[in-house]
Amino acid sequence: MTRKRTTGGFGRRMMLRGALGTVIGLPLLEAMLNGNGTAYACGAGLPCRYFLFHCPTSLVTSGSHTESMTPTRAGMGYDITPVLMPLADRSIAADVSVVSGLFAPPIDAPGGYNADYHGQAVYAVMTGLRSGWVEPTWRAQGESPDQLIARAIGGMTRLPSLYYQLDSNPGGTQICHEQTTGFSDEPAIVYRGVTPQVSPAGAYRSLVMEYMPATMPDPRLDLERRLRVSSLSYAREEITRLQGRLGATDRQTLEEHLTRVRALELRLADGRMSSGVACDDPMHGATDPADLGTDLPDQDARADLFVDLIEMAFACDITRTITIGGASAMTGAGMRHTQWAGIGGLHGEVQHASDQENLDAANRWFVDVYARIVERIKAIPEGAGSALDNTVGVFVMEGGKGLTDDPQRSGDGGGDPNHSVDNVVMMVAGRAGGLVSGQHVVLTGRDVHPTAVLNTALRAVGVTERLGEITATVDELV
Amino acid sequence: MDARAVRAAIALALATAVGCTGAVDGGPRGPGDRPTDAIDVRLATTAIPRLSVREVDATLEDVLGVTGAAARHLPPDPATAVSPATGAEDEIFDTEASTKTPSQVFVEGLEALAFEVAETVSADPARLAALAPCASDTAADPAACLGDLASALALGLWHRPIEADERTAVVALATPFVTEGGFLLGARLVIQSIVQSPELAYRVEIGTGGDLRRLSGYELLARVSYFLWGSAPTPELLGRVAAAGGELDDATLDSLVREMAADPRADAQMRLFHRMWLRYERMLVTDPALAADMLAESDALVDRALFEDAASWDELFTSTESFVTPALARHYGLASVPTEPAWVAYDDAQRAGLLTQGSFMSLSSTRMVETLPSRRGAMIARRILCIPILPPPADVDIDDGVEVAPGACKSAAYEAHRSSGACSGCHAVIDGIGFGYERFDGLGRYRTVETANPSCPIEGTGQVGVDAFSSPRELATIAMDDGQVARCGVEHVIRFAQRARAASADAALVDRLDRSFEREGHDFRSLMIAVALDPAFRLRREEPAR
Repeated sequence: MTRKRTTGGFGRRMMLRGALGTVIGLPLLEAMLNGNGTAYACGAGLPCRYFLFHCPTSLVTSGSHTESMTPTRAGMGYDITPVLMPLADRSIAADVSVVSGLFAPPIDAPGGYNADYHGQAVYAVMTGLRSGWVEPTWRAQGESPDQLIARAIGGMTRLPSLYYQLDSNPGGTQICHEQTTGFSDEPAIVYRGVTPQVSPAGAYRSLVMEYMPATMPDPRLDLERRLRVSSLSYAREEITRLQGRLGATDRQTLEEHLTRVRALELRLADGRMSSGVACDDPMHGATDPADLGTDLPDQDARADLFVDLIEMAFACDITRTITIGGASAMTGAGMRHTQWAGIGGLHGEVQHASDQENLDAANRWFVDVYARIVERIKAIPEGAGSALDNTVGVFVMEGGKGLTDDPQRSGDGGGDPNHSVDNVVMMVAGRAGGLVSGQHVVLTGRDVHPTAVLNTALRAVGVTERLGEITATVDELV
Repeated sequence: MDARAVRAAIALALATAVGCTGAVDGGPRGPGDRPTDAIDVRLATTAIPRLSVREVDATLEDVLGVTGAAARHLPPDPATAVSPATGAEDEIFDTEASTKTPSQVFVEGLEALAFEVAETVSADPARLAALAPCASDTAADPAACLGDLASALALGLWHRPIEADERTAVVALATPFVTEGGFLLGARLVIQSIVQSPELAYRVEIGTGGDLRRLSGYELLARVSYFLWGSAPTPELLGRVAAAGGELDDATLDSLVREMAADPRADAQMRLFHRMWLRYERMLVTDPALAADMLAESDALVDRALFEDAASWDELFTSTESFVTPALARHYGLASVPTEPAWVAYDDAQRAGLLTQGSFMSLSSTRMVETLPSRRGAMIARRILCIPILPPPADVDIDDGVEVAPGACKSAAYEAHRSSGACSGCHAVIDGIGFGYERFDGLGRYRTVETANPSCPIEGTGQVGVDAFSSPRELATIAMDDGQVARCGVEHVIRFAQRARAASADAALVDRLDRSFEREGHDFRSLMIAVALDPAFRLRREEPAR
């Protein structure tokens, strides 16, 4: 499936427009090149990048055992199934490996989830920790991969990590989880869902906030930057002043606020993007697309903008860690799209409907958004190749398909094929850290946890930590 | 305990006995909690409740004439929240404080919001002059004028006078910009700073005292204003508090509350409350024309119940007529189809009020018209009757409802499900209500046979607590007579006002206001006034330290 682009992406033209209309070459950092002008391998000078796309569905609808995503042929040059068609349409199948047959157990075991698939399963997959077995059950028990990666390489860029969501409806279970101090009625350390940015316009403003052309300083932008810094300093003083009058819990809330104000102030005070090269507005002043109806966002237009922004963030080296969710897990649920029949949204109407074709169409749409991101990164020249050579991009699905009535494999009461984390399919794009792309790795029957793929992604960007209790990686990918 | 309270307690006790209900909303509720007239604020709340996006926008519009900036910049308020204690996904008001964390997205959004507002207002001479008459590029004493501007902004946006050192600090920050670019640039910095300061987004309620703290006059006025208007108090109202030395005595508060409750902004707030409580605007109806007609139908009933002298709030649930377009009347299959939008009497003995309108019925449907009786029953139990239904066991998938084999009747499948051990307790409660509405499909159309299998008749009878009912209209009558609906409405108003989900923790408060609501003949405006004037509304319990 291909879609018409509604905005001018700049990956294809390999150029960024300067603030004054000047066309400036893409930021090819000198530090990234060796003495011959060719690139170092990822991790030896060139920036390693990570992105994760979360698809809030599983492979089959209620009662269905037939899906159209998993390739039948293993090894290099896998067959393109109907759901994977966007990989072929965008000529990136050779850049993407497919991993199938993954399994997270609905039992009290490493990376296991307590029977309710909703929410618990995504906690388990994204943290590698068993979920739902200790109180409070409805909370992730550890950090998601973006946090580990941001801790390792986030300091090299202006923003340690980004978390976007295609659907504009907030609420529900998040994909990313950060460690923070618990409030008075909580454990000392808790892992709280990170609030995703659901506004492309807000995301855009955040990316260009400290923009200041290095070669041609813009007095207007400099003035605005100083206004912002001064205003933030006043806010900081006011927060500190207020904190002194509050109880412990409220003080802590404001401390979180204050920490983010400080970080923002520092970004602005520095006043220059880390690449040192002008990265101008690819969207010419983004605004959020208008909804098509009540609770019906223009998902295509929103996806277009987010894809532009991810390209920009990587190309300008604003961050090296991006997570983008289709929707929140569990109530990802309410996500609606004109292409998907039904009124109750993705989960109730598509995932639980009997029409497998409808779910396949939804999944193909999500694969296409992922494929567009890969396509754009591939189009960014870097060293002797492309930025995709130094990127790992993971496609994670919320569930797979339960092909057995065994409740210890199917989960969620047993026998419901669509609420199972068995036979899960994931994808890994890029060649960071020596990843071998273009293959189909079949792991059926080996009980390899989906988090093992995320561990592999961590290794690809040089992070040696593992996620939770899952120690495995998928060595076939390297 | 009066008869209706006894009846309600029996219904709750029955539900509890079968293991379906519990302390979902923050504490056990039962006869032992009832009623006491002591001022007892049990629910601890934050001293810095954050405004909803709607409230920030209303504030900026009222004080600065800027529209829509918060919706453009701040993350949306969640419509639901997962309870960490139970895993239940509750529908919440946008005022709910616990969902509002100072995320990076929020802090960056607030910064961008302040930037935009400052840029807009500083470029508008009329708006500036309205805030501070001296505020123009020709200000004789720029520093003094910036101070006046800061004072006006703080009073409007923070709902309190600015402290001298706060004023001095912001003027000091602005002065270099005046030197660089003139007065208006300095004004821009002042506006940006005041908007971005925590006391716009967080409504501060420090109060005085120990664990139970009494709000100051300014804090109380702001609390009342955001409850009754969803926006900031006017400078004139703030001036009255200032004139009283920053405090509000009972007589002044009484007068202020009644005056504010009579304002059109209170009408809008009452409408908004009902939209959020009954959720009908989030209907699951794909046909835009039909959805618009249904929204108008529900809004019309809410308006009639709230504002027409001859009508009563009870009609929200008992009305035997509805405001329909010709198309909607045909959709429902009403015998009387008007030639233009009009009130039409129902021609059956089934329909009653908002709960049988298509907008509300759609909320518990799936696949366009198919109903989920258990979900519908749970929705009505939780939201309209305030029976706290616990979420299903972890290993039960409720998304699809009970599986109905091809050719089988839905009622028989659910009956068999209810008979199976572990499922019986909860389903006896929620199906008892849900099947009473089964004669209405997911779009509010009346039917007598099951949609998927027309050979299966729909009995359309149900059970709530100890009472059997034969139609939604009969259930509405029972629940109104029992006082359950009114009490549940009171409880939701308290949640809305306290910005918390646990109103039932303050059972004495609910009792007090429930009795007041009844005394006033279920006049909803009187209820809003009673909430705002209740002694508990002047207090805040401090959250315990770790």
